[in-house]
Amino acid sequence: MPGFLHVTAADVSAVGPEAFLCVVGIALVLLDAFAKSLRPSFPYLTLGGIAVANFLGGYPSGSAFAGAIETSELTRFVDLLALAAVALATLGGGALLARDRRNQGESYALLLWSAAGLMLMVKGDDLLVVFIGLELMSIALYVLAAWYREVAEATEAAMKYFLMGALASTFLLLGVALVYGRLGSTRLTALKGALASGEGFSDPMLQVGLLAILAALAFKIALVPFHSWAPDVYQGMTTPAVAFLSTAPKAAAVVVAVKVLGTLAPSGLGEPWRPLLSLLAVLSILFGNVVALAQRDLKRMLAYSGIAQMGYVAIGLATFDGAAFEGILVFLAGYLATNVAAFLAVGALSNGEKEAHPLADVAGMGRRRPFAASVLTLAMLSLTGLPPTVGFIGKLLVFRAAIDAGLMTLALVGIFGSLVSAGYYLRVVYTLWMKEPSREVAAPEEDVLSGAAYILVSVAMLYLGVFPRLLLDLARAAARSLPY
Amino acid sequence: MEGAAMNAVVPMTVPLNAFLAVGTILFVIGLAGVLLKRNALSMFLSIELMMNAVNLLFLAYARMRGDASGQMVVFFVIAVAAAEAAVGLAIFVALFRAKRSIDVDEIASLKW
Repeated sequence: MPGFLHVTAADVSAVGPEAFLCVVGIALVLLDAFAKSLRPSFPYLTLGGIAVANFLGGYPSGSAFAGAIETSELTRFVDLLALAAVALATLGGGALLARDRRNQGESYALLLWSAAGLMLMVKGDDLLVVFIGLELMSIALYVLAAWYREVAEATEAAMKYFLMGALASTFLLLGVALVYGRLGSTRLTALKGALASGEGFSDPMLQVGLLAILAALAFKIALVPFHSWAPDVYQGMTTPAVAFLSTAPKAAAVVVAVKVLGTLAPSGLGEPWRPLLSLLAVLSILFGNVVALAQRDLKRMLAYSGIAQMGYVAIGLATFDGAAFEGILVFLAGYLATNVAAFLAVGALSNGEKEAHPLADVAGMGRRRPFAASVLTLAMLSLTGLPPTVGFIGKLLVFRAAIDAGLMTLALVGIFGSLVSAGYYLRVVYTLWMKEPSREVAAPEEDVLSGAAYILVSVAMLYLGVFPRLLLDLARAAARSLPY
Repeated sequence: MEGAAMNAVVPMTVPLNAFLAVGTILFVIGLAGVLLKRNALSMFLSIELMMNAVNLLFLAYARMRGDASGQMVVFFVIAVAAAEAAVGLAIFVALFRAKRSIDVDEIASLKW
């Protein structure tokens, strides 16, 4: 590897945001150990760190670290999503954690490290970098899943998440090993070259390798049948951590799936990949939506709703053309704003992080806590995909791309799923505004930070829903920068 | 004397396919362990076995291709696996304290 030991300024700037987030995380852990009295200021420190990391995100496109890392409009788009997700989780989550006195520096540091991992994962052109990024992202999340370690349900969820996540990582590694054995490189660019120069894709070893990699990514995205960790983890994990986990890491895994598929299936998706992805999409949409109907716990319901929402993304993956990528990116950005809003509001309207979040608890909150209840209502409308929210734009683009590509059945399944989903999303709205409270819920008042988070996500959901131009331009530039 | 005796041994070359076979068999044994064992620790040990099976595959392929980057991957995998083990074992300890068991059949309070 010529020049591998020469680290240039361009190399450092390509991973500047990740490096800075890691340093801020370490600083938070040290501050927590030596200056506990500073704890109330940790959210502000975290937000400052995110702001600087966002400033460092203006790196040029190109390859760095001798080709191990590729930066582009796309990686900048994912950087933006990751930073937005951590920032919103920090803004809205500080008060929730402080209520239980569990706002240690590590809770912010782990989120920052996880975000750094997922940003690195998307930048990786070398599959080894993808693996390391994915592990950094996941290991931090395993710890966050067990954040309330004295709560048996939370630790149980963490154990399941850890075991299944570690298993998924081994499959990713197996896939990389098989691809490496067949083509002699772990670099996506080199693999593309090797395939173009005649080593055919119909090779069974490559197909098994790609299948293993896709299974690992489908696990991170929580597509049926790799979804079984999601409901438990969503229920047991702290709300701000779930707000992050359910959005940015999934977006990163989807983008990596697009990159890997585009490299190893260069002539478009033929047999067996399109039917396979379509199957994942249909199963996720039907299973997620139907089981969500039966849920009485809000966080569990949102977990199944997330499985279904990722099914819509899988429609875009099965379509696999420029318009579909654009739709996927818009959908993922909209889903991020919406789902973070939903989780923050659910956390704020509950009895505390250590308890369940039953639907009945939000009854009558429309009158008692109109601000948070409005945010939750807006999030439910956006998840259903009703205009004028951003959820509508994302679904429209993904379904339209599928119809244009002749995948009418998939689009119809998606639309049918959306209709079913209205049943449980609108039930939340009904409970919020129409039902009488069944018991006293000690929902805390908003502080300045969580108020800011609510305003930001609401503006994002409505503004991007009415004037989607800004988001569309970003997504189009990002989708065009994909080398396929 | 002993050195001379060692030198007298004819070096035996193990064919590449043998490494690939061992790696594959270890991976399958590990996968069977994850699916069949009910103790969280045993399941995790099986996953570690799978990781090391993949390491063996990487080494064999790197040797076959005469390419050092496959060997480099193994070091990273070992380091990542160690980090993962630290977190995983901590979760198991916390779980045992909360539940007095790490048998996955007994730990099933979260369903549907």
